[in-house]
Amino acid sequence: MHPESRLPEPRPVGRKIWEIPKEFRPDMRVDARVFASDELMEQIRRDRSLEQLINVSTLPGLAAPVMGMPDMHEGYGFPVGGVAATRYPDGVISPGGIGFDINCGVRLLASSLRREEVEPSLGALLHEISRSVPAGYGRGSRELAFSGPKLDRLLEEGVPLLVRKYGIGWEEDLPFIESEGAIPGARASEVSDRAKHRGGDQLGTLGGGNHFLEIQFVEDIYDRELAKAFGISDVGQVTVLIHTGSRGLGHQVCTDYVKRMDAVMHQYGIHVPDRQLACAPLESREGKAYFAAMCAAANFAFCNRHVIAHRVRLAFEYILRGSYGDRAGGLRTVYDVAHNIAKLERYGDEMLCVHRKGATRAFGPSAEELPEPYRGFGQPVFIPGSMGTHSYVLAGRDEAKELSLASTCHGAGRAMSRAAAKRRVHGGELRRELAEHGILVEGASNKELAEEAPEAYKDVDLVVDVVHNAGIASKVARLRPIAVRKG
Amino acid sequence: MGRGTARPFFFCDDGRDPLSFKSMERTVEFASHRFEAHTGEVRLVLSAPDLPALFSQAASGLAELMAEDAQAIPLVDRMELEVEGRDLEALLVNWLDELIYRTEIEGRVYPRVEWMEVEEGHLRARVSGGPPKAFKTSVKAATFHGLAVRNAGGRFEAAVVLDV
Repeated sequence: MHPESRLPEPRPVGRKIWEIPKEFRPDMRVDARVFASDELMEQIRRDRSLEQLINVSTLPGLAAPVMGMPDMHEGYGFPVGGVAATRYPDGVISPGGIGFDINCGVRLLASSLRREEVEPSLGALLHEISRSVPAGYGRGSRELAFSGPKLDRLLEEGVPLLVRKYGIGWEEDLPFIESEGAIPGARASEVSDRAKHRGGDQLGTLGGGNHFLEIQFVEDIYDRELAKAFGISDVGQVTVLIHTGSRGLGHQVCTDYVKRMDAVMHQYGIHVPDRQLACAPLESREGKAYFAAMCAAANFAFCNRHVIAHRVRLAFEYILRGSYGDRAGGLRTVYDVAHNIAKLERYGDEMLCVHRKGATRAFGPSAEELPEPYRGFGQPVFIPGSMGTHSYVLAGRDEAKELSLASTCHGAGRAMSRAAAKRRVHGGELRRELAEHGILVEGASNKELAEEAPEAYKDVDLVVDVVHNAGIASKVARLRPIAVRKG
Repeated sequence: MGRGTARPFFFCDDGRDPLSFKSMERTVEFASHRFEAHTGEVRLVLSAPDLPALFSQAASGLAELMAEDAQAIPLVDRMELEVEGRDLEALLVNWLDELIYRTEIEGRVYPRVEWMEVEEGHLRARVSGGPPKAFKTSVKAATFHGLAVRNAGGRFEAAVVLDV
């Protein structure tokens, strides 16, 4: 805890908006702003996330208040659900502001199938997906192992290379991936051999922790016009949600650069209240190298979700005997969006480096970056609930740019430690309860299930209501899982 | 070494209970690790009479977190590791990161430290381990968050947050 720390008392300043003024602690450079209802603020106060957000507000070169999303919880260095924008080029970049799982994110696929058409084959379908999408710790699928110049090219060219050179996925997927699946500025030469070795054969794998793949159906539609624009036509339509990131490659990139910045930041006159906030100026050698490596790891994550989506299409095709693996009958990519990343974005006359750690970009209808079919509607945002509960599709609003640096929440957000969840929840009973609610689960032991139990998370309905009511993103549809492949 | 000592420490595994081992020069006391609650991650709390025992406990705790029944793993693989760090905190983070990396690429966990030498900014050790029956928690990395290696009344203590 910071030596001068008192318990912060955020004050309400608007609709679901709270602030901690920069006068609260002498080393704060900007205000801290949190989006939360009274109930969620009560939960946020229970851990150290507010203190961590205040620590973030001490970074050099911040251009706006640091932001906490309603699903914010204690992390390490940055809170999870934290957003910080530094001025380019004289501000800093902090690997801890992105996290170890660079470009952890979600992709939503929408099928042309109805729930009734899938349910008779659901067990076989989930089994086939589990067989073709490895999950859990460590090594991945050797059939799609990349190394040497082949991996370097993938890190720099991203998803378009997978589509055009390897025939994985479709050309039509590309506009519906953030940055079209290839962030400019990625440089494989800034990614260590160790990172490449750690992740090179993990393409197309879910990993562990809270990562998952769900087969879902549309349970409710809140805004028919927006839903239609996103290809969500009716209640009962089957969708697939994929949640994973850059695997060991991204973890190692963050490890390497936290170490490197920790060693040099004092040379730039930077002092931080928590070493995990280690950072360097964006224009320094270390800052540029990290940005290039982070973009490469982000491209790897986009590729990872793309390969998984491809395998899901093949599994649907194999089990349901349809044409889901081709463009005609397929599972269309609604969007693929990161929730652990730093992006260079223009706000008025300024170019800012927006760090989003457990937060999702939410561009409004007028954003030029949107794919043509979504202009005038807003960027799709996906908010997965806890395992077995529903997820939301939202659409970013133009007001978010001013309110929250075009950022919104990323999930329900943990409310309880894994150990506490295991003490309170019996995994076997939870599995039975999920089955009673028509939800199949594969890939998790009972203990692992208990760690991710719904009661270990905040209520996703409350989280989503905050961003909806604050004018950051609008509710479009609610999705209910019927089968879960757990990471 | 600032809070430690410039003299190298040696830790020899003589096959006895690893929580009560004999060093080259003296019998040392109980070393321990435990896990504390953290909303999103895991905090590994370490306490030991000297630095090699502290770092050995870190390895043991990490293995316990990552693998089912870590202490029953057949110790079929041995390797020597070397790690550097500009201070004790960096040395501890880098030591854990080295083990996390090895586990991910080898598919092995290393619960046992056979010997260890800790000098200023430098650590050498021989670890032993093997393939676990099943992996448990995926650990991405060790963090510096709130980390301090303290020498309190002759005992070394540290609490390190692991990203899981």
